[in-house]
Amino acid sequence: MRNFGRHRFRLLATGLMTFFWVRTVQGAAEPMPDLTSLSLEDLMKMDVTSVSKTPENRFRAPAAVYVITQEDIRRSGVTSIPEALRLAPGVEVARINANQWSIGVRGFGSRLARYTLVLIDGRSVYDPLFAGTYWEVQDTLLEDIDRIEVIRGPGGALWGSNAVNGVINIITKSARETHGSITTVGGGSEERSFAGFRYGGQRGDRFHYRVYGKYFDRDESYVHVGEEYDDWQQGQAGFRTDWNLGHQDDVTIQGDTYKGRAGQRITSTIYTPPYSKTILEDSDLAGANVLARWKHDINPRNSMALQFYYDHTDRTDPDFEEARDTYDLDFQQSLPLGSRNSLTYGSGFRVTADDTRGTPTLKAFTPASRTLNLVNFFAQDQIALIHQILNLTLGAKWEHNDYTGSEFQPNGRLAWTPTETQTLWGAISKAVRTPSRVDRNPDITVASVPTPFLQVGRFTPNEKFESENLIAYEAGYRIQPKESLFFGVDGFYNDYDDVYSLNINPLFFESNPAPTKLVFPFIFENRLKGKIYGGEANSMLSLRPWWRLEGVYSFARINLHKKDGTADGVTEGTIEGGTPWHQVVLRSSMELPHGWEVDPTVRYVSQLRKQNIPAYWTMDLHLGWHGPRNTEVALVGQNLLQRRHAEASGGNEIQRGVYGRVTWRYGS
Amino acid sequence: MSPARRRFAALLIFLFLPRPTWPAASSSSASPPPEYQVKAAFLYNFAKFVDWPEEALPPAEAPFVIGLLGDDPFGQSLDGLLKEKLLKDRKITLRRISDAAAAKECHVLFISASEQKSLTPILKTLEGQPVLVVGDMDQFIQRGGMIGFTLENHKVRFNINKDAADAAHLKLSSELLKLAKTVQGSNATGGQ
Repeated sequence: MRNFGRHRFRLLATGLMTFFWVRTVQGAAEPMPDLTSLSLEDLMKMDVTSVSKTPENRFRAPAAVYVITQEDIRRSGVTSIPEALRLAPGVEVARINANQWSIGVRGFGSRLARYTLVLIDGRSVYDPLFAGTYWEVQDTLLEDIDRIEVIRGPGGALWGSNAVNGVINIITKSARETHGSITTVGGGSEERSFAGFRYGGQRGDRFHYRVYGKYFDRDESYVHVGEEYDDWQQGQAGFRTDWNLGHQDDVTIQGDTYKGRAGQRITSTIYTPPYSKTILEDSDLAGANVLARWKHDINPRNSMALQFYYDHTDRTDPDFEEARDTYDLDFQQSLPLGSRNSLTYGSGFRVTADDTRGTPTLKAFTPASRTLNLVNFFAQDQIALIHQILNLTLGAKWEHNDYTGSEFQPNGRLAWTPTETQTLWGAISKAVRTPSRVDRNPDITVASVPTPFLQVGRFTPNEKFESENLIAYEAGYRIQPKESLFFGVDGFYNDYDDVYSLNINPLFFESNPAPTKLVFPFIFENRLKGKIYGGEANSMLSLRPWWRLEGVYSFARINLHKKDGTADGVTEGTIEGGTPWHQVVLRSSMELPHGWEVDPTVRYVSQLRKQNIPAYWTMDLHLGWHGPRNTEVALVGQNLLQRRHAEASGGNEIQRGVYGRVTWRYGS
Repeated sequence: MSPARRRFAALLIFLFLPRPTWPAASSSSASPPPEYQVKAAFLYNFAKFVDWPEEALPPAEAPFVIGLLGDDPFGQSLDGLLKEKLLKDRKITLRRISDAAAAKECHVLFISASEQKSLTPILKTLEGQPVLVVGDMDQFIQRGGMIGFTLENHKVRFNINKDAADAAHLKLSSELLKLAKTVQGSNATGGQ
């Protein structure tokens, strides 16, 4: 499918709530000498560092979860959400060019990460046309992100279809936590210029709000042949209000809108000589969304939430346009059942309608507009087999979509926490990727051979494309013998069936539209099966309260094979060769006297065989200084170890970059 | 903006904004301890400056009970800190509890921010009980808690609601009141 001219993928989405489960483990500092011997006066003179306020429960989570915190984002110097994801174990991030990324969790990396479900504050951003996430339009003021939870492994039982290999929850802070203003400005070589502003406050004791705006201008990546084309400018603005209506009810309303231009190089097939043309033009990116969530606590352990959102996206590529409106309603309740069971159940309904417009060759979709409905129910019971020590979680989601009808995604998870410092867990889950429009009804002419007579390749509809299936077996162990030391390791064995593949129908001549040509009608089918196995290890060591080290290692091997009856000789190798076997991330975060911070991040990605991308090491470095009056100055170097390097096929190389940034914070 | 509200905002900002670490002018070490270790030491120290009514103090061989209600922000640091320590000449027992009824048996109770929603019923259950109620959630003393932590410039501060302590028949020493950032109450003294 990389032959599309753009590499895009598919899938339909569901998704829900970010409440359950967990967060990973975060380092704190080593124990101090006896503080009780100090007087109150002495204690009051003491500076403290602060860590997350709810540290315990994610340690017990029966899933492979990693949390990228606000501090991780700030200290790593990343400037976008896809770049931040590089910090997490099991995530493969390859920057295709300045404005596109290929991302996968535990394999299956692709331009739109079609096996990964991404949610921003409970709003699914999975595009059901080409199946996946347009990373370049998923943004917010990074300073307002509370955390990014990266869940490796299937999340279908909670989040529904397309949460096959992983789930990424981007969670912004409550408006309660963002009083005051932040202003950032900066610029450099690759990050040419950027600015951001947020102001938050409260009306009365219970109504909290913030508004923000941001803008950036990014430089092109390097291309060996031809003109550099992929520079990118984008602006975004938004708001969030959190309103506490008494002690039982909370209402959150938030929204964002963005507009951007991202340079593209697109090769289109045309029916007149020279039958193919390459255009360098911008994609116009625009969108807006609004979300409302009402949370009602009957008592501290029994709460329900009702959420509605509307999302509009409008993407105009040089040769194709997609406009989409999505309406989504979700309900969920969590309550205890007896002393041992904790039940969460819920339901959701989504309508998504698109309108596509192509060119005579890239008609793209037949029909051009389509409305899809999705209904789901889920329930999950967490059973304390032995209180605080052995927990069993059983859950399943049932969904109905317009393509394949019912889909059922169950899972079972067991967590054993023999002592407070260690957890051993295992899980078996089923997940599906449901068809998206590109699988079922594409009409996309992608290649031409003009001699001896005109022949074209075209993706054509196949109404028999079914869901892709995964049964995943996972296990993990984590230990935190003291606050300053954490180690976690997990392994997985993913057994896939009905993975998408290509095939070709009987050739035919077509004379309308002119000219007469021989058409090679490709279709998408589900004729691959296979497995991915691998694991991740991550560790954190706080050598000193001011010096922390973190190491992440990820390993994945894919082995796919064809089922009977397919002529596809391409997809198997493309997927297999698109996953790096080994990845390493090493981070050091150091706080030095006089407000200095020195934070290098070194990373390694092994080669992508089929894409001819060699293995690479590179390094980012964040130097920060906290000056007077809440001023923070940062100097960040990115991809420092070489002038440029390729991370994905397509001919673009990512260049070394340096930028500076100043941040002012004012309290209210 | 009222001082209380400003403190509230300051608390929020300090608790949740990324946290630059400033070398402390007053401390020789450039390595600040985690917030909750210091708060744990405060908890221990508070008890020294509070007098419980005689009937509330257990027989001499019974332990002094410090309770922790809700999600535990201290982790093992509290256990380590209180190990082998004495308060009011008694051994200290640390209890992590999940409901307010059990809190009545504590002498000092720390209410975690996770109980934000249920603070009012918890305090209702404890009404008139000689339990020193400490917390660090927003508006803690305004809502009826006795000692509320706040962070100011990376330092731990506390505010006192003297009326609430009086109602529980707890006598706070004048030194404690003097060190508080603010003292709320009808005949409040001290503060800065």
